[in-house]
Amino acid sequence: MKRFVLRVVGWFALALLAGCANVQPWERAYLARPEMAFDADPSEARLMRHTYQSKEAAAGGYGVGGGGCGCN
Amino acid sequence: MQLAAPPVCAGQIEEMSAGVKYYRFKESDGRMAVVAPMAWVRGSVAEQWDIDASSMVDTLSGASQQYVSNRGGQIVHALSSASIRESRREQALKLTRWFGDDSVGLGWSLSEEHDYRSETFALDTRFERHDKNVTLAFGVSGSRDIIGATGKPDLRETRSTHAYFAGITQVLSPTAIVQGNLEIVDGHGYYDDPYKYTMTFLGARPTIQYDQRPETRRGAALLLRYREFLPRLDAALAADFRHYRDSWGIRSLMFDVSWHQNFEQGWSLRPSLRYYEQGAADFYAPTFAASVATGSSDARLGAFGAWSAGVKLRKVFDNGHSVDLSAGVYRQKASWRLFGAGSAELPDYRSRFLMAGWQMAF
Repeated sequence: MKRFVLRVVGWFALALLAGCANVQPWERAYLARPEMAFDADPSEARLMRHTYQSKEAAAGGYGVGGGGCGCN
Repeated sequence: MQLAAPPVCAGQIEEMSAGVKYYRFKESDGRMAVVAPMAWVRGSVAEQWDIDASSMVDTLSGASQQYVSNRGGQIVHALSSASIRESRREQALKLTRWFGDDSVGLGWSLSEEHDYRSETFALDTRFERHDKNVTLAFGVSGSRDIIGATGKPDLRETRSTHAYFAGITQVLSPTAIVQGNLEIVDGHGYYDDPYKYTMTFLGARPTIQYDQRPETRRGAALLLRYREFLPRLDAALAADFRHYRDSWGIRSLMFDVSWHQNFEQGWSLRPSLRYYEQGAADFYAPTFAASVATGSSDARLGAFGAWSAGVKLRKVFDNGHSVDLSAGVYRQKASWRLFGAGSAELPDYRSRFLMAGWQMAF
């Protein structure tokens, strides 16, 4: 797993160094639309992820925090 | 309280909003049913301070898997004979302090049920760079769980989990944005399921294997997310991909895609499709010829593929309030695993959900 994590960190560093589009604030009207948010409805996302987590072994990637459950 | 994905346009939340959600979930074949109302409030409470608070109560009823047996030559996942009814309460609170376009957040959550308690503290921070075209996010959290079991008054075990998060969000164009996140989780303590066991019949008397799992679990999840707005269609495409692996030998992939279509008068429709698959844990097996130190037949540790589909209808009113209604189905099958063999003995699993929400802005 150590190799997997180091590989991912390397990809992130490359992505950061590769530069990005320079979109000006006045060009971001579409990006500011609610449906463009990564979690447009945080409450819905939380409920769905909790459901998936109770039936699947994998979880995570969305951020830290959040309680567990004794989902037997 | 999860560190929310960095907003596309960074900065303090400009208005307060509050809402309620009502969630119903039902498994097939007389298994579990869940009803979960939730209330939340989020927004700016003072100059440079945001708050995000929520409260939820799950009420569970029905039967869950209790034991696996091969009596009669076939693997059977038997449900508990007694129907249960229990509730779980979860509260979460997060405060965020803004320093210009950068922020620091402190989060707390508590989840309690009669045989389980989990408390989490989380710290996160995010930075905007390159004229806010790049957002860097970092977070760390610690959880402490206390586990008991109905009918086992002497059982009181603990588990500690730490999580570490790093994410980068990059604007690609005036209509597209991408995010990559890495989360590493390190847990130590009690992971067994005290309610489950396996009976293996090789003769008249069965070998009994109680659900016993390793005392450590280290996992990593890589999540890639893409969003694009299509102005000519007045629609947005969302696509997520996640790869997960852990020290229990579990490898999984997840693809999630949705299409948000806007209509006149504030109406929108969002169909979605999700595929998930996982390989089995190293210590998973449907039968145990002899008792082992770590062994489990829990279906959630087997190898399978799963598809889920849903649709959400939403109406936003002129005053900023909104209502929404979602419905979906979820189905799991061993044979649906695309990148490897499934655990053939696993029973098919089906469930469906319904969710309704109301939100007001003030």
